Order: sequence, then structure tokens, then C-alpha cells
Amino acid sequence: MKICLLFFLLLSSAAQAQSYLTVTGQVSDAASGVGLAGATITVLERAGSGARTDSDGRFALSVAAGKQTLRISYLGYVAQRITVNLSRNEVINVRLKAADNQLSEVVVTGQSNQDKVMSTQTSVDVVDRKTALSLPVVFGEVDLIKVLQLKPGVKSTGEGTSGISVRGGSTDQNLFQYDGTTVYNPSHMFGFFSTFNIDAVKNVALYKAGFPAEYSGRLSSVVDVTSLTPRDSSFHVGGGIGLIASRLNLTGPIGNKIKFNVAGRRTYADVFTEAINRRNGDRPNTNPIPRYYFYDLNGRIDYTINDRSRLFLSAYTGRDRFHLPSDVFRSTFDWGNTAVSLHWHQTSKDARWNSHTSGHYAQYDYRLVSTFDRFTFNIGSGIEDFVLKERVSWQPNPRHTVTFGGELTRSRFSISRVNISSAKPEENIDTGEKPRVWEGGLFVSDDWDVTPKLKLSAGLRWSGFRQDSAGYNAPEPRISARYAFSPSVSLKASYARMVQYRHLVVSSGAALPTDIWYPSTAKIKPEYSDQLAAALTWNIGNTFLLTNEVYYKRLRQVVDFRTGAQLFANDRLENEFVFGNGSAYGNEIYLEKTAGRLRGWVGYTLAWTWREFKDIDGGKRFFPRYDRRHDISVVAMYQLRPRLTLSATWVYNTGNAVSLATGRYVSMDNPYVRVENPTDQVVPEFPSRNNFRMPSYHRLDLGFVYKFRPRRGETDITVNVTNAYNRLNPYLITYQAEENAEGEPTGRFRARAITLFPLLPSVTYNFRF
Amino acid sequence: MKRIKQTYILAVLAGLGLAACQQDIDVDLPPYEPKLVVECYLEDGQPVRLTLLESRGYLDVASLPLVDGATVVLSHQGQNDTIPNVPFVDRATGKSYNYSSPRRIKASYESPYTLTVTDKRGRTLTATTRFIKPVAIKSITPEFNNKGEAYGLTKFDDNPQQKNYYRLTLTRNIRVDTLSLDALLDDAFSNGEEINWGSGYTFKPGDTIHATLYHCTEDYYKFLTTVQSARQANVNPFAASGEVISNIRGGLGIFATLTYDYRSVVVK
Repeated sequence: MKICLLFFLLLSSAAQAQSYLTVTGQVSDAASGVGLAGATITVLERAGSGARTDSDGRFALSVAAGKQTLRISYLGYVAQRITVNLSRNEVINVRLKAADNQLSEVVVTGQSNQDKVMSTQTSVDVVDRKTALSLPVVFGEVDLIKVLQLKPGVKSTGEGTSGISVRGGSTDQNLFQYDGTTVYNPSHMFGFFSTFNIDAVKNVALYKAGFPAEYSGRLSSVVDVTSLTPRDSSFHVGGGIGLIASRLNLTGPIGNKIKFNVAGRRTYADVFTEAINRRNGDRPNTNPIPRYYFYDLNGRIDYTINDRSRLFLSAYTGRDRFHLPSDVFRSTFDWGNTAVSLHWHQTSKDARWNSHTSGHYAQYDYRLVSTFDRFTFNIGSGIEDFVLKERVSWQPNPRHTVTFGGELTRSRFSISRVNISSAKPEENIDTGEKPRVWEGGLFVSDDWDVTPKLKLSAGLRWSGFRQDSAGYNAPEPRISARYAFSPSVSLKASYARMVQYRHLVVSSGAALPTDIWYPSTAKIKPEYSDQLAAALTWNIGNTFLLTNEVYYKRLRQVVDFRTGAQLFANDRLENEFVFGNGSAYGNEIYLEKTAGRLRGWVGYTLAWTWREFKDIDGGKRFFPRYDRRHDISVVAMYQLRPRLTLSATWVYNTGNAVSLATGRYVSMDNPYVRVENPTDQVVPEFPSRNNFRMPSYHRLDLGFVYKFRPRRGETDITVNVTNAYNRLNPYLITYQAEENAEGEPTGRFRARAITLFPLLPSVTYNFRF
Repeated sequence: MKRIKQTYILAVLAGLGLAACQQDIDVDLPPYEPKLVVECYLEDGQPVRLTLLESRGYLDVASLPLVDGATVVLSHQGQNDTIPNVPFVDRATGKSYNYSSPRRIKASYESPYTLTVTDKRGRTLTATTRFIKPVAIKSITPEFNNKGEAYGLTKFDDNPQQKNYYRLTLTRNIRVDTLSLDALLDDAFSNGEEINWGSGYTFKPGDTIHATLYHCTEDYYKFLTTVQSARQANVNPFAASGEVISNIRGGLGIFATLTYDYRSVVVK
């Protein structure tokens, strides 16, 4: 069946081959020379014909010979028209000027809206750094992932955190990639900030459904983060000084063929806490303040071999470090990711063939090292990937683009490593699992303009996995279609199956560093998802984009943990898993204003998410924590003056489903155990999993960016107010024993809500020279 | 570990000046139907005693809702003994019971014991347990640091032929007192090997370390661990599950046997 499909694609391509010429080139920012990903090149003489630029702004387009007009456009930039008289293959490089330099007199093209209408891709959100830099952010730390949380179908997993739940998927069902390299724990500070430094990132694309065949490995989403292409015009220094962290960024060319970008970020609260600790060093009865910091380092070097071949090396490393200084019990907890990749892009002479070969190294681990008297406790887990990828695209004629390739991954896991050592051998403990696995996949797909109105994208991925004697393989069909009622209205539909061979031992909704990645085994089968999505997209006057999308997702073999599971220091963790099914369905409405001084969007999602496990609550269906019936986000950016931008975001959602005890009883323990405090005899009774709804969540954030007029370069000051009307959204509800005036328990309890973020102002100073 | 996570997060937030706010909140809990709760431990050579209570809604008015007038029957090898509704306070341990019988249990390792309770409203709960052989403590040794403080290192052998569950408790000077160590452990790490388990440095020269090693049935061990988890889930947003695994059908609580080895040692 699959072979037939491939033959069909190839034969149909060959039958339609004509004498077209090829236009290749790059679309870049006029000021910096940075390639613009996702820019649109349209042939005006032939409706529906065109191309989009890749992550570096490069494109290849088959065009009929003769006089043709190309329109090159990109959201936020002034569109250009270029007329060419083609008699041979041509290379055209285009530099677009940013529209916001010219303000209101420029009408920003709505071509990007039309591109969204005409694409077969459903359920994708792209956020670029320009948008992220305009929006209010917590503590002044610009975070692309938190901007994604403002899109329909994407929910934050916790107050202020960068963890996401996509269309009812859990946090481990999102594949985060940085230049194609997996980032296993994409957050700092226990999830409050993402690992992606805005100075090093060009954009982030989130796929929620209709996944291209080259992606796999997680059930619910792919978050594809692309690093910033280094500037090729001149050397620049940039950065920012914020409340929490400071950033420094160097970028520029080295000769004609090499350009680089280096960005670093570090928090500095520990500088102050260390000074306080030194000052308090000799004072009695003072405990030292724990030391905490995180840092990121991103680097990218591009080397242009020739017009048709180029290399780039991308590297990221970042760690969090928490140190508890004490004379008695010293503890250091650190965790972090490393992602390194080498990419080789090649284009054939006629630009119909493009090849992208890459090698990747990904690593994540956490370590908790404590010393207590003569004992040293060393606890940790980690994962290491070595990956080879090949992706080839072939454009046999203007109506077909065939993409095929494969990838192979060798992974080394280190799970629940516990080492306790002392001078005495009988006190030593050393445990842990170190499985090795292979994972791979082959894929092929074809984008086919069947008619000017109908476009199909059909693909198949075949994935496989092996660990010792356990092996699995599975077909993952992908298909999507678009029917354009007019140039501005289209209907799209997609189906995609995803398979997940690695599972996260997660004890909460937050992405905590102690969560452990665990491979499939003979006992732990792969997880599957099948998702159907349909969308109606309407480009209203090139100013508004309205999308209504419905989806249904079925999840099989999803994992959770049995009641009373021992997740810590367990050599046989696979015995703690339980397996079940889930489903998610909903409707997402999205209205975006893409032009003018006021821009932004309104999103509303009505959704249901279910889980069902034979071993949890007797097989009864329950709502997972991130099930939210209603989810609204309103985002507005207004350019009040040439140098002043105001922004606001408001979010509202149904409260999380959580487990809350409704009853209590007394357990006095056995006759030989004395329980002094009666409160400690109380056992809470939880009637079922996630039986309670937290109060609704809503929050308004405000921001303004003022650009100074320095003699050289650009500087701005960004002021943010998080939670502007000081809504005390409960993060946790707990019961506390009431006490009388003497501090003795009365035997009664009251419910208390704990709120993390009250009204919080922050200021950041950014510069670029 | 869950506690470690919570501590780190709160410490980081506090360190950044983001101290969490707390406020009373009105929680609209669904109507709560009280359930029977029984807690009964059988011990070789000891009289049968138990408490029979009701659970309460979490925010209900405080009281100790004893359930009196119920029919409580302990069955073993076809013999049914009714445990009368006679309150008893054990002065040695400070524990009180509302059902007690003077008849002492003679442990039988061959067959199970069944407890059946029917209250005046017709609610019935049943539970079954059995005695298992105790595991001997090989040694309890004080180990000193350079400040003259000692921890208690307890050693015992695990039986490789079966899955074993243990509870090890240590107290200082008085056998029934607040616990210096309360460890729940199974033999996952050390099946068939000698198990060494240490306490914190809570002992000084002249102290007496009292060590009790309970060899638990799986039911009792799951109850103890899940009660611990439920208490954490009540205060910790990162705790996974709060469901308590009980061997009581039709109600809450635990019916278990106590088989243990006890030793004490003077710290020198």
C-alpha cells in the first residue's frame, strides 16, 4: 500500500514535468542581513504558485520561462515586487525593510495571512522574537514559550511556568527541538523560565496537529526552535540588564564566508545572597541563604562553502545550580541540557534538489550531591542522544514537492542513579539502571497542488525502536488537504499518527528537573496518538486572520504511575507504571489582527480532556490536571508613538482539575508508636483522582517598550507589570489545622490558598551597538 | 524526594523575593458521607483491641466520632470471637480503644484472620490478614561523628525466597516515644542480602537506642506508604497521588498483624 503511494507520487510528478526554470535565493532583513524564515515568494502571473523560505531565508522556486513578477513578503516587513525575464536559472537575493521603522504610513502586507490560508498545514503557530520582545513578560525575561501559551490549544501547566500542555497532552508529550536537537528539559528555575535565550533564537514553531512526516517521537506537539542566523553585515554587541538576569550577545561576520552569533545569559541573585552570607558569616544563629543561579550559552557559526552549499554549527549548553551551604549538611543540586548540531545544506544546480544532512548530540542530566558527616549522597538521572538525520526535498515540477529522509538515534539512559558512600563498605549503596536504545525512522511525503483550489500533502513515516530484546516498529501515516473557496478562504483537514517510545516519569504538571526519562521496554509499550483536525481559515482584507479549528485526539498506552508508586531510587521503575487511554477534543477560535498600529489576537478554546486507567480509580474516567473547559487569551500591541509601544495580555481559563481531600479520619498507628501531635494522626481521604476544580484563573499583564535615541545603535527600556489587578490566583489549596491563642490545635481545619505571583513590576534595559 | 523538591522551589522563590502569599479560601466541597474506619493490630500473646470510628468531612466540626454499639467479630479457622464494645486505655502506650477483649491471641501462621464489623445502621466492613514470621535484628550499633553524636546502624538479613516489607523504628531512651527514625523499606535494593539502615545523629553517650523491626504484610506496608503519600499530597502540589490503599472492604483503616523484633542498646 505504501509502496503504491510512493509510486503514485513519483509517476504523477514525472507525467507533469515541463520545461520550467528555477529561481533560487535568500530573503533577509535589510538592516542585519539575517535570513527571514517563512517569507513568501509568489508568482503573480500564476495564482497559487509560490514558495516559502526555509529557516535561513533561502528558497527555490520553479517558474515558467519569460517575463514574471515575483512578490516577496514577510509579516512586519515592506513587501517588494521584482520583475524578471527568465531565460535561464536565476539567483535572486532580496533584502526587506522592517515596516515598524516607518510606522503607521506603511501598511504591512497581509500576504502572510494569505499564505496561512493557502498552506495545507493545520494547527501550527509560529512566534518570532519581534513579537515576543513586544509583549509583557514575568520578571522582564522574554520567553518565546510563554508567548506560545497565549495561543489557542496551548495551556500553561502551572502559574508562571513555561511548561505546556497542548490539546490535552501532558508535558512529556511535547518534543522540544533546538535546531533539530532534542531538549529534554526546556526550562530553568523549576519551570519558571524556558531555556531559550531570546538573543539566540529566531523563532519557534509549534505543531499541534497535521504533523509533517519528518517529525515524530511525541504524541501531542512538536516545538521547533530555530536559532538566530548570525548577521553578515557588520559586528554587533547587544544585551540586556534585567531584574533576574542579564544577557550579552555578539554577532557578526569573519571574512566573507564565516559569520557567528554568541549569546549568554546568567542570573545574579546569588551575587547578592553570597555577599549577605559573608556579612553574616560570624553572627550566631543565622542560617546561610541558599545560592542559586542559572546560565545559558548559545553559539552558532555559519560557513558558506559556495552558493549551493553551506555548513553551520549550533551549540547550546545551560545549567541551573542550587547550593545549600551549611556546616552540617551541604547539598548541591544542578541540572541542565546540552544540544550540539552540525548541519550541511546543499542545493543542486537547478535547485530542484535540496539536501539537509545533520548530526546531533543531546544531553540532559540532574545531579544532587550532598555531604553529611562522612557520607556522600550522589543522586541523579540523565539521557544522552547521538543522532544522524538526512532530509531531502525534490521539486520535480511546480506542483509537487517530494520530501524524504530518515534519522537514527543511539541513546544512553541513566535512571535513578543513587550512590551513597562512606569510609565503611557496609554503609555504601550503589544502584541505578543504564539502558541503551536505538530509535529510528524513515519518511516520505509529497506536497501536491492537485488544482489551484485543492492541495494535498500525503506522507508516511515508519519508526522503530529497540532496547535489548524489546523491539517495536510502527507506521505513522500523515495526510492533510486544503481546499480554497477563494484566495482568502480555505478549508483544511488533517490526520496524523504519532508514536512515543520514551516516557517521562513525571510526578506533577510542572517540568521539574527531577523528572526522569524512561525508554520503552518489553513491559512498557510505546504510546500512540491519532489526531483529526479541520480548520476554516479566512483572510479578512489582509488585516485580520480568522481561524476556527476543531480537533479530536485519541491517545493509547499513555503512562501514569500506580498509587503509592516508588519513583525515587527505584531500580525497577517499570513496575511502577500503569497504562491507559485518553482522548481530547475541542474547538479553537482565533482572530488575529496582523496590520496597523494595533496588532494582536484573541483566542478562545472550548475543550475536553479525559484519561482512563484500569489501575486508577477502578478504571473510572477522570480529567487530567490540565483539562480546562474554557481558555481565553487576548493579546494587544499598540504603537503609540514612533518610539513607544504599549502591550497587554489578558488570560482567563477554567481552573485546573486537582485532587483535593474531601474527608479525613484518624489513624493512631500501632501501640508502639507514639504520635504526639493529634494533627499528625489525621489521614486525608481523596475520593478520586482530580476530583476538584481550582477557581478560575485570570490575569492581566501590561508592558511598555521605549526606544531611546542613542548616538549609535539601539537601546530601549522595557517596563512590565505582571498581574496588574493583583488577582490572587490559587496555585495550591491546602488544609491547615486551626490553633487557639496558646498555639494548640483546636481539631478544626480551614482551607488555605497559596498564591505565587501577586502584582509584580519589572524593568529591563536592552542595548545593541 | 518530593519534600526535597518542594523545599528547593520554595527556597528559590523566597530567595528571589517572591514569597508566596497565603489566604483563607472558601472551598465548596461536595456533601460528605461518613464512612466506617477501623484500626486493629493483632499481636501474638496480646489481647484484641481496636478502634471503630467514622470519617468526617474535612472542614466539619471537630470531634472524635467513635462508633459504638457495633457487632465486631474476629474469625479464625472457623471460630468466631465477638469483640465487645468495651473501652480500654493502655496506660503503657497511651493508646485508647473502644472495643476490647481480654482473650489473648495465639499467633497462627497457617491460616488467615478475618474481621467483620456491622454497625447499628447496617453498614458492614470486612478485612483479612495473616501472621508472618518476624525478622531478627542482627545488631544495632551506635556510630559516632567527631562531635560525639551517634546514629543507630541497624542490620538484618533479608530472606531471598520471598518479597519482604519492613518498618524500622528507633526511639531514644523510652521504647514508646516520638520516633527518631521511621523507615519504610522493601527489599528491592537488597533482596537476600544484609540490610543496613541508619538513623540521623540523634543519640548521645548514655542514651538507650530502642529499635523495633516490623516484618510487614504487603497490605500493611501499602497502607503505611500510601498514608504517608496522602499526607504529603495534602500540602504538596508536586505529590503524585493521595489515594490510600487499605485492606478494609466497605470502609477505611487497617487490619494488620504486628510481628517484630525488638532490641535496645546503650550508647557508649
